[in-house]
Amino acid sequence: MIRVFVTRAYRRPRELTWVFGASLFLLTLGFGFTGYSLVYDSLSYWATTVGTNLLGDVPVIGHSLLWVLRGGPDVNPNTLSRFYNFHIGVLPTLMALAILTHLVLVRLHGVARLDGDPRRETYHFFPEHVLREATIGLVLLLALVVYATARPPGLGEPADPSFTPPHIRPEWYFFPSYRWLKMVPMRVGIWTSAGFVAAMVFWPWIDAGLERVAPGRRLGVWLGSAGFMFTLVLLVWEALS
Amino acid sequence: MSLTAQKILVALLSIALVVALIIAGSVDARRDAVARKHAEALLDDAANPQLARGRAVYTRYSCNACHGAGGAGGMSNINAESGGKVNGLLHVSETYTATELMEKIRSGVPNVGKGDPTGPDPPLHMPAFRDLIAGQEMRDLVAYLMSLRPPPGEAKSKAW
Repeated sequence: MIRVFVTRAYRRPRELTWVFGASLFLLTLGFGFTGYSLVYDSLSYWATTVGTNLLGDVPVIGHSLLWVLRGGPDVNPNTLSRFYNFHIGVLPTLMALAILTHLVLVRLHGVARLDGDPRRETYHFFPEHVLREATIGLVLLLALVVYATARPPGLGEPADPSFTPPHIRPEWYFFPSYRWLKMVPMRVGIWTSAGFVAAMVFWPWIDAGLERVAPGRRLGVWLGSAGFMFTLVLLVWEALS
Repeated sequence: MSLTAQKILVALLSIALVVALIIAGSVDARRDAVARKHAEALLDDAANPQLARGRAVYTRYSCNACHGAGGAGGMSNINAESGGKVNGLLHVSETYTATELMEKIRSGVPNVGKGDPTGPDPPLHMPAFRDLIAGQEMRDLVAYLMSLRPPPGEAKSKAW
C-alpha cells in the first residue's frame, strides 16, 4: 500500500482497485477485532465492551446497532456467537469477494509502473501471477505458524463482567485509534477516526482534487505521508504509555 | 517527483513502519509476559480450595463492597487518612500476621483517622465482624487475604 500510495498508482483508471485494497485492509482489522473478542478472557471481554461502546455514539441508529451487535445490553454469550458468525462467515465471504474483485481489477488495468520507469512489464495470470502470490502467501503463513508455535499467545483469566482489569488495552493494530480517542473528546475522536478511514478509502479522488488545487506539487503525497507518520507516532506512543 | 525520490520515500515510510512495529511489539510482548506471570500466580491461588473458600467468604460478607474486588480497594471515604479512600488489601501480608489480621476483622475499625484534622469525619468505618465470622470461615478468609499480592511493578506500601 505504501508503494501504491507514494507512486500514486491509484490514479485513474485504478481508483476502484485502491478502494478494494483499502477495504481488504479494513476487513483484516475486522477479523482482528472479532477474533480477539472470541478469546473471551478478561482483557478480551473488556476490549470488546469498550470497542462496541463506540458504536453507541453513532447518531440515530447507534443504540439499535449496539444491541444488534451484542445481542443484549452488554457483552454476553450472545455477543460471542454473533462475533463467531462474523468471524467465520460474514467476514470471510466479504474478504473472498473483495480479493476476487481486487484481482480482477488488477488484471484488468495491469500493475501501475513508477513514473519515469521505462520498463513495461506484462505477465500472465497463470502461472506467473498465481505463483508469485502463492509463494508470498505461503511464506507469510509459514512465518505465522512458526511464530505461533514458538510463542503461543495463551489465555488470560476468564471473562468476569463484575471485575474490570486495571489495564484494558486493545491489540496493537488498534493502538493509534485508541491513543487518539484518549487524546480528544470521545465524540470528536469517533468522528475524526471515521473521517480518517473515509479519507483513506476515497483517497484517489481526494488526491485528484489536491492535484487540481496545486498541480505538480504532490500535496497529496506529502499530506498522506504526514498522516501516516502521525499514525505511527500514535502507535508507538500508546505502546510505550 | 523523480523515480529515485519516490523510491527513497517508499523506503523511508516502510522503514518507519517496521521500526514502529518492532518497538510496539517488543514493549507489548514484555508487558504481556509480566501480566501472564501474574495471572498464572492468581490461577495457582484459585486452585487452592481454602483460598477459593476464603474468596467466597470475602464476597459473602460484602468485604468487596468497600475494599474492592480482589482487595483492590478504591471505595471513596471522604477525608479518610488513607487518601480519601478505603484501603485496598493487597499489602496485608506485609504488615499483619494472621493472628493480628483475625483480631482486626473481629474488632473492626470504629474510628477511621482523618486526612485533614479540621475536615469532616470520614463517613465509612469498618464494622466489627466478631458475631458474624468465626471458625473455619475466619481461617479461610484470613488465608485468602494473606495470599493477596499487588500486581508486579506496584510500589510496596505500609498501608493495608
